[in-house]
Amino acid sequence: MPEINVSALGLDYAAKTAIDDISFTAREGEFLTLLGPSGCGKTTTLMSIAGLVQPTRGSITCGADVLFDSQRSIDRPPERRNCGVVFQSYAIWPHMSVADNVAYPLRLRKVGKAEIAKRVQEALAMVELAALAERYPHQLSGGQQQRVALARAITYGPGVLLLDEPLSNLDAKLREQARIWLKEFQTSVGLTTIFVTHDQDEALALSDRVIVMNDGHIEQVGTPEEIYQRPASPFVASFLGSANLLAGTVLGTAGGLTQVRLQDSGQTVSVGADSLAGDVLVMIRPEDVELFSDTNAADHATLQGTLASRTFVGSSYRYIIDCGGQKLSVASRERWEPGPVRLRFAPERARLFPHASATAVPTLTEELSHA
Amino acid sequence: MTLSTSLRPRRGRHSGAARTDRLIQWGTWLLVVVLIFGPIVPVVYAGFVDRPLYESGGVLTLDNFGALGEDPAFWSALRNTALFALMAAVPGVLIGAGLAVLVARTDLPMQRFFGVVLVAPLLFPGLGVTLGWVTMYSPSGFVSTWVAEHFGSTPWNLYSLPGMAIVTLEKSVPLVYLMVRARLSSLDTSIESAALTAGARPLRVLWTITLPMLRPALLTAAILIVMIAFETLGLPLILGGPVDIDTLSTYLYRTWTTDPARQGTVSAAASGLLLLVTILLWLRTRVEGDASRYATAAGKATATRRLHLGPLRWPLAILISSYVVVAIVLPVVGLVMTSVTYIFTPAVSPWDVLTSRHFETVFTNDSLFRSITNSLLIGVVGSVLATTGLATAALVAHRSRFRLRSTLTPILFYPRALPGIVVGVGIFWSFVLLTPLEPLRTTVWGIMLAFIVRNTAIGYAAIQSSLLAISTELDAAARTSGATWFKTCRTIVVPLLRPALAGSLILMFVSILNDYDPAVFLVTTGNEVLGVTMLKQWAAGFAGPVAALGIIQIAITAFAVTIGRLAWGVKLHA
Ligand SMILES: Nc1ncnc2c1ncn2[C@@H]1O[C@H](COP(=O)(O)OP(=O)(O)O)[C@@H](O)[C@H]1O
Ligand SMILES: [Mg+2]
Repeated sequence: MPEINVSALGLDYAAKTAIDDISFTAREGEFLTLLGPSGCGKTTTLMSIAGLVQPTRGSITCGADVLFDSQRSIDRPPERRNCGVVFQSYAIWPHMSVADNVAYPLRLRKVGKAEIAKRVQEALAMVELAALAERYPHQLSGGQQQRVALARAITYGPGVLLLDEPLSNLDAKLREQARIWLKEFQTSVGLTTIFVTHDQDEALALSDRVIVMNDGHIEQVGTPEEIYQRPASPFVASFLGSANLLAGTVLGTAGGLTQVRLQDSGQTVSVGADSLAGDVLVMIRPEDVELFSDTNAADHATLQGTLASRTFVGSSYRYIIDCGGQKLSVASRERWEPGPVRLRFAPERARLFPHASATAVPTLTEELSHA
Repeated sequence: MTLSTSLRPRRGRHSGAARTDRLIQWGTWLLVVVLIFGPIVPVVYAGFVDRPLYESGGVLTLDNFGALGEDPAFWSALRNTALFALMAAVPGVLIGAGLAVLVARTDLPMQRFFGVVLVAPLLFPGLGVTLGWVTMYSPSGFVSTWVAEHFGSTPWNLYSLPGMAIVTLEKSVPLVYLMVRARLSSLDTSIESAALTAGARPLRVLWTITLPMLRPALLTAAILIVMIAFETLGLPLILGGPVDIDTLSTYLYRTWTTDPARQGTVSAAASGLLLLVTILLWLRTRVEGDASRYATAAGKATATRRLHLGPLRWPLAILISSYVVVAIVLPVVGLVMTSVTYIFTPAVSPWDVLTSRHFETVFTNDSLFRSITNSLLIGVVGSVLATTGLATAALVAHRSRFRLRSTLTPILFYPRALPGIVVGVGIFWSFVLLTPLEPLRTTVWGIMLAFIVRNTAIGYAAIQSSLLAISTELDAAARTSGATWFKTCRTIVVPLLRPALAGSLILMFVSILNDYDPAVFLVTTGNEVLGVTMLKQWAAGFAGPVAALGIIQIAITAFAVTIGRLAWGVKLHA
């Protein structure tokens, strides 16, 4: 399995730069996910690799093959790129049976009849649809269609598997099953896979590595753990799970802790040592904040606030705490009543970002109060 | 569970195939450009040279336009056409829009019946219908005679500009009706309900809420009728001819056929007409674009709430029924009766003068019969060729990365602005001037070409709207599977497009069968086609055989449409 190398790839539409000079590598056999909000350029990136849209600049290679290089004017047509693609709509051809759909790429390659039958059988068995070979697409459920699309994309042994939100058309229950199934499937075929999704849970559960995209550029590349626990920007922090971002000013660093004075309330919090200075944002996830009663925890929970609202979300409660003007979301299994509370979080759980990078990040509390 | 070895697409075969793709794309584009703009070139060019095209050594000049400006006949034709257009557009829009609103938005009785009957004339051959009107409403027509006998005189005169405008209603009302209905169906009825709940009475709601929302559709419809008025030839020839009323197109026709010395002048006039109609088309496209921009968001399909007409229900239904009888049923009846009687007048009972003579004439006279077989031949061959070409063009325009793809759709829609007479003359000149094509001039194939060019927009629109509804991911999936562009089109897109292709086939067949104005310059002995034969026979005074031909034309059209509907479920007005 070759590795895919995308280098300084850019694509401008008349009114908008859809992808802004991004570079990344999908390693051999890796499950790599492009994660980002709708319209951030994920599909465009994927389809550039498949050869279905033409980038404006940059290059794409698959192993030793150059698929696209704007400087050398190389743009291999999609039919010669040997990519297996599963489209968001699955794109099963409605006028062909399941078996014919899967056999189509093989017929194009002038494979013998017996070999076609064998490979179709093999691929359908792999996606557990052997019994439905003679059905037509309209007789299949969404989950089955998705698997036909997968079978069709792998029968001819493509160099890379490209998946564009393949689970987004399934209902919630089925999606969970399909996710597990897809992961096992990818591991067993061992294909280099680039997977596109806007669903953070999917990305975290499936990927070897995740590329977080925003507005045409890459925010962060890392393993699921890395991007969740050590987000590189406020955007990544809020896009993966929930994150509070509190404005403050660095006071100084001592003893492995950096002290930050919060805006408005003037209270001080400690976070893991950081080299930032000046105005910052303190990122802390709701589940990392503990609540204490206002009266008896003054010694170890120094942050004071007022519990403003409570929402029951099933597994826990969500609280909005007003810390002298800045709102903070907290998740807790315990039920607290409105009124003054104290808060605490472990310094190593918090991260600092320069304040300037805060632009255009929706704050968590805003989202909650709109919900 | 492991994957079998990789099968790479073969290199050599594929780069060759990519070249084939490009060849097909360039070939299609060039063909379209040559066919559509080719015929215009000699017409426009002839307007700017100082001598006929067939004489060598022409010098560029503007004298032709000067001569045109000094010709009073041209100015009177222009004035007549403008008046005719105005008189056709205003009532056409009012009646068509009124009918659409009443049928689509109120509790008018017999809605489904009206819905079908009102658009039926679109399938009638234009010339046959005009003759039908003449048999009924011309001064010696059946209805006129009857009215004159009972009331002393007839309050109308078909052989006049208003008369021509009235006959135009036959086609313009259904066109407006369809356009307005389409617009209405994109408007949520809740805007009307809102006005009702605010206390407005139903008719007031129609007047103050519904009508203003329709304004863009009404404007495009009006422009369309004006375009038709400017380019139609048969109608003013039949109704204006006997009383010497010229419109632009009959002025062109007459000068061209009777005064070869003035070819330069006429070509100048033709260029002017072309420019005018092109501007109208451009205006219309702009208004349509604006309209789609502020359509109310197509929300969920809710049951249409109908306004109550109250006591006006039945009076309105009777009024519309009378319109249907007078404007749609009676002309057809007139045509039928003329074809089966020696003389069709209220003075004699039709039963006493029944005859099959006219049909016998049609089937025994070589020239008349040949016009039927020729029309059928070019209809069948032309619709197949046109559909193949238009489908390929649509695929290049919407499903390829061909560099000039975005120019194809506007070019293929442009013939809507090509007056038939200009296409006809252009093709005639092309055949005369390009020696290798000369043999085509006297065959049916030249006429077929002219008819195809004139009607591309109809077939293309049918194919394009279906093509745009087919997800591009279906072809993308074939491409990434290893299929070239052409292979993808053939194996994936075309099979999915089959109903639209059948629709285009039927529409092109019917259009070619019923078209005639581009052929008036191309017909000689041997390549007669239905419409032109009817026009010439009519001018020679043979009403009976012409009516018989008209009936045959209607019968063939009905047959084709029925086949289309039964075999492929083709619906003809989308
Ligand atoms: N054909 C196109 N023309 C113009 N803009 C486009 C086109 N396709 C996509 N875009 C724009 O490019 C951006 C990225 O789109 P896309 O890659 O589809 O996003 P995603 O898949 O991440 O939701 C979007 O802002 C979209 O509006
Ligand atoms: Mg997308």
